[in-house]
Amino acid sequence: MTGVHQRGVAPHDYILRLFVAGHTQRSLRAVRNITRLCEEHLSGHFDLEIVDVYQQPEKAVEHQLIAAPTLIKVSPLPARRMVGDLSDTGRVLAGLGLSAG
Amino acid sequence: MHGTEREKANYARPTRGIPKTPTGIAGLDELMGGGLPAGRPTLLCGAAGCGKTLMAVTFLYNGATKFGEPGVLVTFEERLEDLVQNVTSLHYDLNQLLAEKKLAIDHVRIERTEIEETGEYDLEGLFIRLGHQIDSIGAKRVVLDTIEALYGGLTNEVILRSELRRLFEWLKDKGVTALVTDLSNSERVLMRLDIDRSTPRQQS
Repeated sequence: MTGVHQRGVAPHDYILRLFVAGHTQRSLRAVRNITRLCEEHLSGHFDLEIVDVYQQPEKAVEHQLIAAPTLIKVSPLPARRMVGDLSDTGRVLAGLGLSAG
Repeated sequence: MHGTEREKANYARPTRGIPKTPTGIAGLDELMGGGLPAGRPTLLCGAAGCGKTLMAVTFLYNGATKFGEPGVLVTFEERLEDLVQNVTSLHYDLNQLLAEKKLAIDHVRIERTEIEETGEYDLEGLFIRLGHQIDSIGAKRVVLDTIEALYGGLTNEVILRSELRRLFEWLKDKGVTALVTDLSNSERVLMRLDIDRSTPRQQS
């Protein structure tokens, strides 16, 4: 599960990494939620990498993972971590620094 | 399994049927009938500064140097460099153990200000990390110091409680002898682990 959406990423674009643990319903919900939010609010200006830490456990150490799923906003700064299946759209948008709506 | 025959005789006296893993701390092992319950998690509670970390590190150090049991230290608070320095005065050379793959240290950083909770989650990230470290050196001993830190970083008590229970079961399934430290507020600790005090049962 390492789907990468790459649309000619510019320096000011969003760089996001979603870490999930296996193909659980919760993982799939998180993937659906972030994909939808990116399409709706970032209109192509994003780079989303999805990592299954069961496949790459060393990534869990490297990226200081505790909870799963975890979405990390790498860029733009400040870096933010959103844990959970990303169902709370308001909080996700706030975490991404995007106003709701 | 561990140590020389003489050390076995000294430490691993079979008592009450539960095999023990020696800490190598002589007085303590005698008191506990040979050491910690082997292959099971033990909760070590105490106030800040009372020596939980020191005891936990000693358990791992002795395991690696005296009993041929590699260990993993998951530290939520102390940075690697600080830890190594703190125990140098005891002549524990952690860097050497790290180099010899008799010890693995994972510093888990939890930055409350960076975290937003956005829905259902579990602590599988932590489990995977720990599993990865255990497998990387064939660890027989594990220390988590201290789980209080999780409560500083995550706020969903329901999830944390059930995940801490799962962590204890998971450690048991892994067959490692684990020492998990927490602060001494026993009421809170028991709540966390969902242990009913009216019907005491052995955590091990």
